[in-house]
Amino acid sequence: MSTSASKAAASESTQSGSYTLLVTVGSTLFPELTNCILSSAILSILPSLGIKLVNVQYGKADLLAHEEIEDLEIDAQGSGEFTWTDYNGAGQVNVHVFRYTNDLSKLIKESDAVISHAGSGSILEVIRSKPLLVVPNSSLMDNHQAQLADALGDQGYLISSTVEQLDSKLALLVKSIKQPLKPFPALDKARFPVIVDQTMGFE
Amino acid sequence: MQVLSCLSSTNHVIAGPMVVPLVVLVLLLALLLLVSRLVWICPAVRSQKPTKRQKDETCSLGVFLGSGGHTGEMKILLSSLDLERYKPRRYVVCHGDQLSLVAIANVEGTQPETQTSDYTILSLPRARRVGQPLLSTAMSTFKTILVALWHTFLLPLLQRPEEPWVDLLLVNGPGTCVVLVLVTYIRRFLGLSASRIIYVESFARVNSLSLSGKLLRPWVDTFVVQWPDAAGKGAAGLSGRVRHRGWLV
Repeated sequence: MSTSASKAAASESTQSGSYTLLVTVGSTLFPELTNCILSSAILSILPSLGIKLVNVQYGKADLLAHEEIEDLEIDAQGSGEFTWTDYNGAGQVNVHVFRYTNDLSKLIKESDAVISHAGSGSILEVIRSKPLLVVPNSSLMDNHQAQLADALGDQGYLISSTVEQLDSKLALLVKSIKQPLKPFPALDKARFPVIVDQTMGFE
Repeated sequence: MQVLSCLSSTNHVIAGPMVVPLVVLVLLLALLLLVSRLVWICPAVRSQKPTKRQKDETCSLGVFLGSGGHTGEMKILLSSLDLERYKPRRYVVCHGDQLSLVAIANVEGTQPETQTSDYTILSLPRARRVGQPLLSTAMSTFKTILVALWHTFLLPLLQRPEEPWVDLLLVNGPGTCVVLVLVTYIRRFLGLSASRIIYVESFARVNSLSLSGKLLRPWVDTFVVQWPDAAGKGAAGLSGRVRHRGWLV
């Protein structure tokens, strides 16, 4: 249901932008990130970056009812959509919000770039197929998300950002659609069996 | 005669206060025996070589599937294993963990919640929910231990005393797996043929270990990290038992 809604939003697009952006927080919540995306500061730079559609999977969080999204109506499942117009002339962006999706991999495929929390599951799901920007959730008890984001960011496989840096790092993310980041190595299925076989006495 | 009775009466007088130190002494001795037995079987002290296996032999495999990211990683680890060699498989999940049931079906190429001759599923009560208070954690952990004890130690002991419940136990992190390793250790403690244990630390652990990882590291036969510094800076953290072969996911 959520994906058909996102298509409807896509077809309404009137602007010259052509990119689709996905924002995902997995099964948890990360209101600092999802509410930042829905703030006027971020929404206003999206059209100029060529982004025409943003899908925001916001999980368990509450959406802040700020004025930028006052024409957003959210249904019982927590889904909704609106068009944001930048009156400075940069154009419009369609925004589609929803709590969860059954088919994240399809949404990833339909996106040109992805913004995600720094959970290892989400990173692994995206890092081999789309340009990825991750924002570690600093409110987590044991903040090893930042370790992983920084390590992968330092090696150039993704862009690591904080919520505060999002506006500048977004431009880097869009740039990497045309000029891809360093490709993350494919899964080497020979590695793990060697360790297991040695542990069990197979030579 | 008088001397003798005198002796026995002194004996009697002394015996009363001696009981307490005696019990303490026996307890201390038992503790000493327990600790020295644990040190003796601890892989960190003296790693045990596996018995040689032929190419065409099969190994039964126990897999613990805990939650979210851990299950996702375990799914990828299993996808690289030869399932014709590592069978039958016994999956251990926590009650109500639908995601892990779907992951099992994915790995096995079957529908969720079915079982075949190649694999079975054992469901444990969860030892700790996120944010659960300490006392109730202790209670629920105790319940988990009892259920695990019955299904992975006592029942197999009654049915086939000569073999452990699985030849290999594969775990990768979430809390309840510590309970499973603990119960699996009973056979090793008793000197019976026991499961070998592999722990794979998460891809998310770059320069420190998770709590489960820290607890289990001395006790497993092979401890795998996916980042070179996860178990300690540089080569210091690595040894014959602690392995790093790059990313496994």
